Amino acid sequence: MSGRRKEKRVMRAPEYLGQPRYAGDDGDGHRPVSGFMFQGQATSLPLPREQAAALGRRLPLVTWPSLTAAMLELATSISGLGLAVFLFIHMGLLSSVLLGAQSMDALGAFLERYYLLHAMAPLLILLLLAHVLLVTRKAPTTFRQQWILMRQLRRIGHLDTWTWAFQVVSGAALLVFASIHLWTALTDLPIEAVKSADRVSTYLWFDIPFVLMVVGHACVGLYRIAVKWGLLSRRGAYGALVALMAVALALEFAIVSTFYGLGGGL
Amino acid sequence: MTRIMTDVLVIGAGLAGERVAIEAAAHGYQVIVLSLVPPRRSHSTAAQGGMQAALGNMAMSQGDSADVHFEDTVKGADWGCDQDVARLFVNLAPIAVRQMAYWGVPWNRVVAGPRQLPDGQMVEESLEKEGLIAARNFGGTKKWRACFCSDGTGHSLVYTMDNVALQLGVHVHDRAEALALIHDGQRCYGAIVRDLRSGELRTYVARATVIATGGHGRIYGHSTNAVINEGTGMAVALDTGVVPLGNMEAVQFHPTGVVPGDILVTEGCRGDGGYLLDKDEHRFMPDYEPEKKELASRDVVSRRMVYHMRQGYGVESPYGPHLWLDIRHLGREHIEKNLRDVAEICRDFLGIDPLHQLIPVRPTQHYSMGGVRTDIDGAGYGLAGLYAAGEAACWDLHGFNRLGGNSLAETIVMGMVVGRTIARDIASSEFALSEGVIRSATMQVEERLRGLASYGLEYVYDLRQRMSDILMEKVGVFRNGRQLTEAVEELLELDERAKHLGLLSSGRGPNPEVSAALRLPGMIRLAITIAYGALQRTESRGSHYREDYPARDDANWLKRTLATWPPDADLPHLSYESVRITELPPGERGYGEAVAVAGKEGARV
Amino acid sequence: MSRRTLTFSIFRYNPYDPEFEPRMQEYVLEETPRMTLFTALTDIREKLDPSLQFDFVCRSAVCGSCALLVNGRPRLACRTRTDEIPRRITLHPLPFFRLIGDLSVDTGSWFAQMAGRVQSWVHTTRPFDPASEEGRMSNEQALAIYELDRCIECGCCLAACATAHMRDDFLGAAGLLRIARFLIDPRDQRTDGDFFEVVGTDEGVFGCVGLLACHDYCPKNLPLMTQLAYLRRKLALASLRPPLRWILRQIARRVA
Ligand SMILES: Cc1cc2nc3c(=O)[nH]c(=O)nc-3n(C[C@H](O)[C@H](O)[C@H](O)COP(=O)(O)OP(=O)(O)OC[C@H]3O[C@@H](n4cnc5c(N)ncnc54)[C@H](O)[C@@H]3O)c2cc1C
Ligand code: HEM
Ligand code: HEM
Ligand code: SF4
Ligand code: F3S
Ligand code: FES
Repeated sequence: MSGRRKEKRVMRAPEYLGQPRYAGDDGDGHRPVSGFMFQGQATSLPLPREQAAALGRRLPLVTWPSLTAAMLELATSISGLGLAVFLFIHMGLLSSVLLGAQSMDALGAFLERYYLLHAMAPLLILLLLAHVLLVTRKAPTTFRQQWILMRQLRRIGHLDTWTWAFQVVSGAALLVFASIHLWTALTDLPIEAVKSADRVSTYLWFDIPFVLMVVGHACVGLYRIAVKWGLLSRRGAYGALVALMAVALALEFAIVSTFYGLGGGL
Repeated sequence: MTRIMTDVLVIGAGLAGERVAIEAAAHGYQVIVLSLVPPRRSHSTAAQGGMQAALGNMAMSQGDSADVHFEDTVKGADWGCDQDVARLFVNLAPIAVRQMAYWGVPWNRVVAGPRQLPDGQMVEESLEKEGLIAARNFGGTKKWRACFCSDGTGHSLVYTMDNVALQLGVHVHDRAEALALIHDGQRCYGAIVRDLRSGELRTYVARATVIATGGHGRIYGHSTNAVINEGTGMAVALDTGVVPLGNMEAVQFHPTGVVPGDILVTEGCRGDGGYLLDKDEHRFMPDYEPEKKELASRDVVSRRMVYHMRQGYGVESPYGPHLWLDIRHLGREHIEKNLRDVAEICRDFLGIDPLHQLIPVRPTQHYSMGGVRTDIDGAGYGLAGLYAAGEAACWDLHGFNRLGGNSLAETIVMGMVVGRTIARDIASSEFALSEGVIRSATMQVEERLRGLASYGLEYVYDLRQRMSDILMEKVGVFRNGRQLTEAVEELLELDERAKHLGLLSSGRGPNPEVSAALRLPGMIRLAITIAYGALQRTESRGSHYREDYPARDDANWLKRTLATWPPDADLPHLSYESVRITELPPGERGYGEAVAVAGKEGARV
Repeated sequence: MSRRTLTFSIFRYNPYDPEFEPRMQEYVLEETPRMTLFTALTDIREKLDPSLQFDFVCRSAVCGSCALLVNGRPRLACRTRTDEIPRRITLHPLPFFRLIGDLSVDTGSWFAQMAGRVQSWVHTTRPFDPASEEGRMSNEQALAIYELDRCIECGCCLAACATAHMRDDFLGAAGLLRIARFLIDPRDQRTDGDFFEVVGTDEGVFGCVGLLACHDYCPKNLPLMTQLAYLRRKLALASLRPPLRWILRQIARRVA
């Protein structure tokens, strides 16, 4: 066997030289062992009395910190789910335009008559705000975290890590897009096909990325809910993601192009 | 230099070491365990097959008892073991298995109902035993007795053991290597240890010191043992000049380690009808053993394979000569179902599809029956305050051939015994520490380190390669006077050269070259002890086979070799002690060369 | 098998040698048949550079010592054949763990503190009776526990998980798996509440954002996704019980 060696300096400081990785590590790598030590005969190993008593007594099921952690986790997924469901209802309503401008106007008038929109909009905005607050607990908010995430993405190029990064980026973008959209839609009531068509054909450069972002974010979000909570198998969830995304994108673009057509763009 | 004081110092965090630590900690003593690697990476983790204990829960183990287990063990040992030790062992083994279950080992359990054995026989597991610990078949045993956890018996045992050690507050200092014992020729006071994280030396002072460092497989070039099993624990004991190693010439080989990597593939391959082929793809076993063919016993097959390769029929490869194992004709269904592990090893590590390709194999060192000689309580000979356990010890349960599955059981049973002995001894003994003793031990180690940095003539890996070649070739499965003499001479020459080891690298910090160079002289001395013991033992017993003395010789050799290496001696000093026979007088083994039992050596060992 | 020449680009750093700066070093080696990274690295150490640090113990994928980044992906080096990867091979030590030198990292200490944090042992008040037969258990149950006991503490799941890199105190998939193992063990008398204390937090299962890299890179193919989801469901549902009980009690009081 033959061989040779060659050297190349790397200027990048290695990431491995961090501080001790956990509390109680005194730096020499020995196991931290305080806190759960007791003595007894190994061959029968009776527990010391206090420990045995603690096991026998039923502890309060949960304490506040862990209770809130669990509830916030549930709330995050529920807020995302709520927004995604809203998006699909919203898409369903908008697709009335595919049947013609009149049917959309009729729908708009109906919503207006019963003040459905006025009732829904504040709730929706609250939900959106809640969602944003909840997800920022986990999203990489500091520069250090973002840098770590980017390094990891570059290095292992793992698909599901990418989808999460996409969630973060698209979410941040949506914060802007959705605010503008809500502003324009809600300040120009009632909903009428002509007005929308007007907006779409003028601001197409806004609508296309918006649609891509929102559909992507919602579908990937649903996929993530499914795998995180184990509702579907990995394969199943992935299939569902692709199918849902295809249908939603097709429908949204049908809607947008109809508006564009109505607005005289075609 | 940092000094650490403790009641009990256990060198080695395999099953044996941790079990000693647990017992001692449970008796209220402070215990520190040293290990080259984190405890859960110790070699014990790699044992897949099972742990022998006569529970008698299976249909195929009905009628099993400690007595039957005893008989199997003594016959397996070729009467080279101490029978009082074997008796103690078989009586405690079931307790050990049950305690491990209590601590959390997920042993496979008995499922009631009829089932078919691989050989087609139908058996009925009884409803009465449902949910109790199950067992599988193992080579050389009358009954099914090897308790197991799917394919990870050692893994589950080690993880559970380490959990309990953690629970009991046993301190583990991993990545630490014991380099020398602190002793005054009468008593052991601890060890000088090198920290493998930083390369620094530390002193551990202890009232009791335990050697539980596992086997020495890696001094042989090709071994199924983990790469850290270099026999350093035995070497530091030999280094004292007063602690004897027992039966070092008793080394077990396994016929089928794959090439390269020496990973063990199960004997089931041959049991189920696999062939061994040479470089011409000729099936050679029938030429030597017309009756048993590939199914002759382990040691016989190993010897025939080596002989055939020596005749020039080995397949040349960059990793040395090997032979082929052929299981292609067994068919896809059989291989995927019954030999799944083998298929996985072939695919993952060799990139070979055993359905269509030949598997490169050769006989490979597997287990060391010899080790630090202890009495039945686990106290080492020669130094007070020194103990040994596990594969590193010669408690003498295994004699000249270890039974598959007995070594996992030994580590745990012996651990219990040694832990208790220590608790007893510490309570009753005085401990007076002398600074001079510590200083001289420290200076000796520092001297070795300085030597490395200054001489620089010999390269450690060259010498190591040479040593293992000599062992493999001349002290392997086949031994004879001429080659053993050569081996001893050549190894002595290496011993001399090893005094001039130098370094190619800077040697700073936890440098691996320094570690290797510190270990090598001890390894060479172990090698000499093995070769020299084998040269003197002019008989064949168990795994020790002399071509020039092919028969067992109970009249002269029903005794154990004890080797010490006095300071400044050129050769180890050998003495002998008789083995204790309490119940079963020497007789026919019943599965030796003449009557190898086909297919019975089935499971992975 | 045609012979290739392999170029290894290996991360080198010895924190104990002041003259030793972090660098990538190249080694060129002739490929031999059935070569693995174990054989290759051993060769490099013995023939080209005796100072190269790396860890192998079992070299048969059972001890978990040898995980590395091979071209950026966490893998067990001993189970990586050179013929499955391109001829330019970049090796880095596992990130996340503290570096000891070159390719060697301190996984052992991390896993030991993890075991301490999750109290990784069977908690029971029942004493062991050496004289009586073992407690019974169904074989399915034993197999289910064994399935979760198979983790070899290699650290690939932590090295692959971006969350673990971002939060130092995260238990990681391996720690959560360990909890799941004791949760299903009938010998362990800890209640759901006891487990909740340990993992029902942002350092525990709620710190996981479901990146699934752990699942995809676990060399033992452990069912990490399923187990993480199981814990998440179990603990989140458990958290709903007290408030629901409170509400019910209020309603009952109103009605009465
Ligand atoms: C492939 C294979 C399969 C096997 N299968 C079975 C089986 O199915 N059934 C069975 O009964 N037996 C089996 N065996 C044998 C059995 O695994 C071993 O004999 C047993 O595990 C040895 O345990 P131990 O505790 O003595 O040593 P080990 O588990 O080897 O532990 C040795 C410890 O000592 C430490 N150490 C070593 N030197 C030093 C030093 N100088 N300083 C500090 N620490 C040190 C190491 O770090 C390690 O922690 C098998 C063996 C092999 C090779
Ligand atoms: C407006 C600003 C928004 C921001 C900043 C944002 C941000 C994020 C982020 C960072 C995540 C990842 C959270 C995690 O996995 O831990 C996420 C998840 C999610 N988002 Fe949004 N999002 C926004 C709007 C929306 C909208 C409009 C929808 C629906 C159409 C939506 C649906 C979801 C869903 C379903 C999830 C998955 C929740 C989970 O994993 O539990 N989000 N969002
Ligand atoms: C109650 C509040 C909302 C109202 C009244 C509303 C109304 C409308 C209307 C009228 C249109 C047609 C196009 C236009 O007029 O610009 C539209 C399009 C769209 N809306 Fe909304 N919307 C609301 C909330 C949201 C939210 C929260 C989202 C997602 C974050 C969203 C996503 C979209 C998308 C993707 C389109 C199609 C693309 C486009 O035409 O811009 N809407 N909405
Ligand atoms: S869970 Fe898998 S990847 Fe993680 S440490 Fe265990 S074996 Fe390794
Ligand atoms: S990669 Fe990390 S975020 Fe969760 S699913 Fe696995 S632990
Ligand atoms: S060396 Fe043990 S897993 Fe690779």
